[in-house]
Amino acid sequence: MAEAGLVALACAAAVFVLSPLWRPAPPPAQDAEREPLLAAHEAVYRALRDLDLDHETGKLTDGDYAALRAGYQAEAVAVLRRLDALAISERDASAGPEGAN
Amino acid sequence: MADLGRFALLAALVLALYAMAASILGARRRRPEIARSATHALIAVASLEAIAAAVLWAALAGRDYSFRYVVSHVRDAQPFIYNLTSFWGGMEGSLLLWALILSGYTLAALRSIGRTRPPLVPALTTVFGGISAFFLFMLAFVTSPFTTSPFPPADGRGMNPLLLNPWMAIHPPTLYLGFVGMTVPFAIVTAGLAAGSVDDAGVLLARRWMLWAWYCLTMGLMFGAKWSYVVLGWGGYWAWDPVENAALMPWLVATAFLHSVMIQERRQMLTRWNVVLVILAFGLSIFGTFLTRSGVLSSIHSFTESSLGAFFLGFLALALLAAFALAAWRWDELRGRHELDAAVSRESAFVLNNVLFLAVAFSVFLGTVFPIVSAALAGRAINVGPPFFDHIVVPFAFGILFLMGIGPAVAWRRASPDGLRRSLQAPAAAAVVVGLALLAGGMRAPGPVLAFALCVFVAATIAVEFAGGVRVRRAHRGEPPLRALVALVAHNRRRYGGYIVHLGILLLFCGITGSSVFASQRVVTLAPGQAATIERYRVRFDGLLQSTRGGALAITARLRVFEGAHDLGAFAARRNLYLTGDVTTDVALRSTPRDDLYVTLAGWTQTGRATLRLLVNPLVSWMWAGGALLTLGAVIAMIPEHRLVPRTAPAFRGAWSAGE
Repeated sequence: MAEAGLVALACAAAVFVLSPLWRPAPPPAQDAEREPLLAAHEAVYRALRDLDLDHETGKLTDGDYAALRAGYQAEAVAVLRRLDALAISERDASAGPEGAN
Repeated sequence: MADLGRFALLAALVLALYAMAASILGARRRRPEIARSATHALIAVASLEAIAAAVLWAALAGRDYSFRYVVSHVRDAQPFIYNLTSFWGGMEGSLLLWALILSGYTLAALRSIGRTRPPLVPALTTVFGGISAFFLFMLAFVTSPFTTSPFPPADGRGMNPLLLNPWMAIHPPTLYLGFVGMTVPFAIVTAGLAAGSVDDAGVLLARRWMLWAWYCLTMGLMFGAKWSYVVLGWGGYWAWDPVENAALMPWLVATAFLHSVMIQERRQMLTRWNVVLVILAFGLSIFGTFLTRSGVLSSIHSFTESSLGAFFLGFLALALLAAFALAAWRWDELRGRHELDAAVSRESAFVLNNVLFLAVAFSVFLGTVFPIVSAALAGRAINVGPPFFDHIVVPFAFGILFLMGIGPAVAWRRASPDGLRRSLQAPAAAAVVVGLALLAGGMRAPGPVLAFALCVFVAATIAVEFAGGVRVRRAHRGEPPLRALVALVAHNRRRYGGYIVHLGILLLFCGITGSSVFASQRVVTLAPGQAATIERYRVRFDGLLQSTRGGALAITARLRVFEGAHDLGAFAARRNLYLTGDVTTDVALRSTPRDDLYVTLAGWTQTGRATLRLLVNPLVSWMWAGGALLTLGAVIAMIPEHRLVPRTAPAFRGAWSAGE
């Protein structure tokens, strides 16, 4: 009886583990490429926020602040451009088959 | 039942090995269905481990003495709750807990990372599968919790009575949550190295998991310190014991990482350094497990001497070799993209802080392994002892404390000298005033004066930082001060949560300084009715009481404590003598923010006289308050900030401009 239980447990585990082999894998999530870009943009945004606070609390000179802010803004724009490009390519990819039909 | 436990562990081992192999195969052949099967295998591993854990818990709860583990850790007279917590009271059970926690983290990490970075999942599965396989191999073949005896005894031996304490019930699981938690950043980083996606986002992803592991490790250390304080009866909480050091080393490295990763986040620098720190933190967490289980060093915290050490050392060597080989392979890709902008900046302060943390970690490592090294080289184990650690660590601790004060006052990238002077003026003045006041008050030892002055300096810089933030919010939004403060913290959780953690560390530092430098002690032998004075307390001994408690003979010294003319009430200091020969101490403890009165019963005579050890430990309660404040700060820092950038695809019509 106990042995039968163990065999049943082993069978259940085997079926569960092997089940993906005869089921088609879902398409990869589209966030895969976007996520690092979003993380980078978030980091730039956070840096900008801290920069503003540091400036307003008197830790940075106006000149340094302006130069650093311009640098972060350029970084943010670059990341957003890459995000835009990614969105366009994803849109084109999803519109492709429909266009063919 | 034992068969089910053994089978579950064996099946889990097979599936962990399958997960490793299938994830590699799936990634190499670009067959996602095989990689998904590997992930399913790890889910099955977790389920089988849960079954094994349920079997062990059922045996412990039901006092099934056919299990050798139950015989060693349970007895009929032991309180039921400790039968349950004895799960992690021994070597085998604690390893099963380790494996179970690892599987919990594995599932959480695969679910979370699978949503945001699916290409990383096969390599993650390989790493998690490999680490799980090691622990399951140990549990299945080397130190099984499911060994049974054909002739079970009528009663068990029970746990070591020293472990029958609520703090010890929660100390190991909390510590393991920290130790095992360091596996996740390690897995993320090594998986990224293996999969060739070593970007900043990967290391930053590791930050969140490291923060959680760091917090759990901190609380595990605090719970352990509290247990030492109230149970061991020597009036201390830290003894530079090898096993304590083993938990401290990964904590130090993780703390360094949590600071340096902020530089990587902002400046895409120090990627190599951060990768090395993550690998080291994991390696040190396994090294701690090796120390606890190998028996190579004697410690009150370690399990009995066993043959497990060689396995752990082999696994540690293999894991470090593989991780560093991967890092070397990707070394060029890990190159930072920027340099430090200026010598005076928050980045520089963090780099210096990293150097100090690593120096402390290395010193502690050296002192901890010195007996092993000296035994190997000179044939005699030489213990360096607490004075070595105190002499080495204290100057570094002062340096770290000083940087904790400087850090908030310095801007990121490039600090303005005028701004820095303005930010530090008031804190420096406060520190000088406090230092002079302490000197004027009679405190002559330079160390404590410097320590307290530095604590005031750091607290003042943090206060200035909060005040500056509130002022800015009020200027922009016209909020009342309290609302501005709450909003400031809520909208900058990582920054201000971090400052609150620093305040908690300050309280800890004050507590450690006060209790280690200014403690006073007396050993007195009193007849009933006699009293002894220590500091501002008068302790009257009212006689001995003999009773039985939980299967032990308890000798209780009845005490009455007075502060001046004020009666503080009755207290009891007790020794519990077990038939097994174990002796435990129940401390008479009165804790106030100023100090702790700590009385233990050291001995007694047939004539009813008692020898009492009286201690007054100043500021100990500040340490526990520091732990609570640290929890508050860590929780605030861990709550995810509102996503600053929407997850959905950005609008096509425009990118971004400063005005939007």
